[in-house]
Amino acid sequence: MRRKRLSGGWNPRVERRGFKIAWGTIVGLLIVGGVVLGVVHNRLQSQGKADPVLLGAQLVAGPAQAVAARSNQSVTTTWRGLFGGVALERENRQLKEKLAALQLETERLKSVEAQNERLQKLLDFTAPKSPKPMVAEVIAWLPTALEQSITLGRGSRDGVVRDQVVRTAEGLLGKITDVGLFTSKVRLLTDTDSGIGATVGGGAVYGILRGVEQGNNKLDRRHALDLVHLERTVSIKTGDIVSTSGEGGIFPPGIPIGTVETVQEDATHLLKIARVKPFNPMPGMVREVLILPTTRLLPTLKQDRRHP
Amino acid sequence: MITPTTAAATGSGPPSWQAVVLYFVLLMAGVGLQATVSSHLGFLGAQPDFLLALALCVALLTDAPLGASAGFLSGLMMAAISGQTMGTYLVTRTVAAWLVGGLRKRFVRAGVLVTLLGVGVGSLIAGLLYGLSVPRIGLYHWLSLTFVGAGLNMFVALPVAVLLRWQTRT
Repeated sequence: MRRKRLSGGWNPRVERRGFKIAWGTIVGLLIVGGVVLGVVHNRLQSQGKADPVLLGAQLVAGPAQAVAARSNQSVTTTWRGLFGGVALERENRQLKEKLAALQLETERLKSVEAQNERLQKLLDFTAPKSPKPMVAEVIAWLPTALEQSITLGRGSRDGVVRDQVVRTAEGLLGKITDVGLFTSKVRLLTDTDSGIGATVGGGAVYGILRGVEQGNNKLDRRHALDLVHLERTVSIKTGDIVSTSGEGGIFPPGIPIGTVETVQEDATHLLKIARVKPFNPMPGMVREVLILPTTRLLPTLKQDRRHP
Repeated sequence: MITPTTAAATGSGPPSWQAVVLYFVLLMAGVGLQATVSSHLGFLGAQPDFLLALALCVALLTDAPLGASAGFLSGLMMAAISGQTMGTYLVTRTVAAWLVGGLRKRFVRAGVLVTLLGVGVGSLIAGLLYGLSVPRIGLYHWLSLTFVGAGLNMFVALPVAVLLRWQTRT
């Protein structure tokens, strides 16, 4: 019976050998293909060009990420609604206080704007209209343990370009490093590859803010922010506000980042290092961000610094 | 008798369309979970890797070539989410899933427990290969990420292993 069936239309031995050869070739092709795609990706990335393979993969993965992010948000909201009554009440009170402060600030800004318009008319000056920032939803938070990044649900289709600055209401978050058709990746300030010019106390002290890995021991590493290259003589203390300096031309000046947590001398005892506590909550808690329009401020700032 | 359907389940032929659909659904679920939940399940700096766990489960419950294909797709999706080290993800996961898929022949019955152990071993292989190809990670940090990450992957692989095992049986 068995032989009769095997001698019929389908012979598993022959079929299996055929598959084995075919699959062996496919495995080899996958490995070689992986290497080739990796090399091409790195080359395109170094040239600042988009990788079509990665774009295609992001096109497939993007909807799944968006659905998961919305589900996650719904679950979190429901959970907080059910079990976070006390926390919600506290948050509500804080938000009301913040709203009252913002209303006062809005009224003050309106009067300043009106005054500004009057003065502009007197000078016959027409200011260029500045583009508005774009609101984007976060669809992925720290997907791997080795990099500090989030993914936004806005891409080149929405006009997002590389190096655009991303912030929240609280403060600076990072900049866009990769742009897909529907998504874009933001490298957070706490990433070890990140480094920006920052200032303390409204321009009195300048330094470089960079992401570092710190921890209680060699196994437990956490991401933090350090303000480095501070002269030993500068006056800086705990609680001072750190904001962007505008150096480098990518980050506009004056965006708040965080507060100074600790100050200590570096290994050479010639410079100081300040640990900075960011205003933004944990990256996993950020739901929506603002993508700021591209600015190129470098020449103006340099000129201003030399001739204050 | 070995029919095309059982051939897929025993790893000697192409997968059935139901298996492909289930895999695609699980892959998309893995993408969503990796993007949203993974960072909240971190321990000692390491995070579970849903996509790698899925690829290794597929490798252990089918065979090495199908596992290698699942590993490749897992690497591609991971690169899509993280946006970097694309080649490293592709190669390390393809090789890890292929090697782990080869282990299947050593076991008479690929039970859930064996699958979970296989996911642990596969995660260690992938971590080892990743550490070799990205040498800028500190040794202790890398060891911590690899071993703790392998444990977390075994944890998240449990429901996937049960589901895939049920699918291969039916």
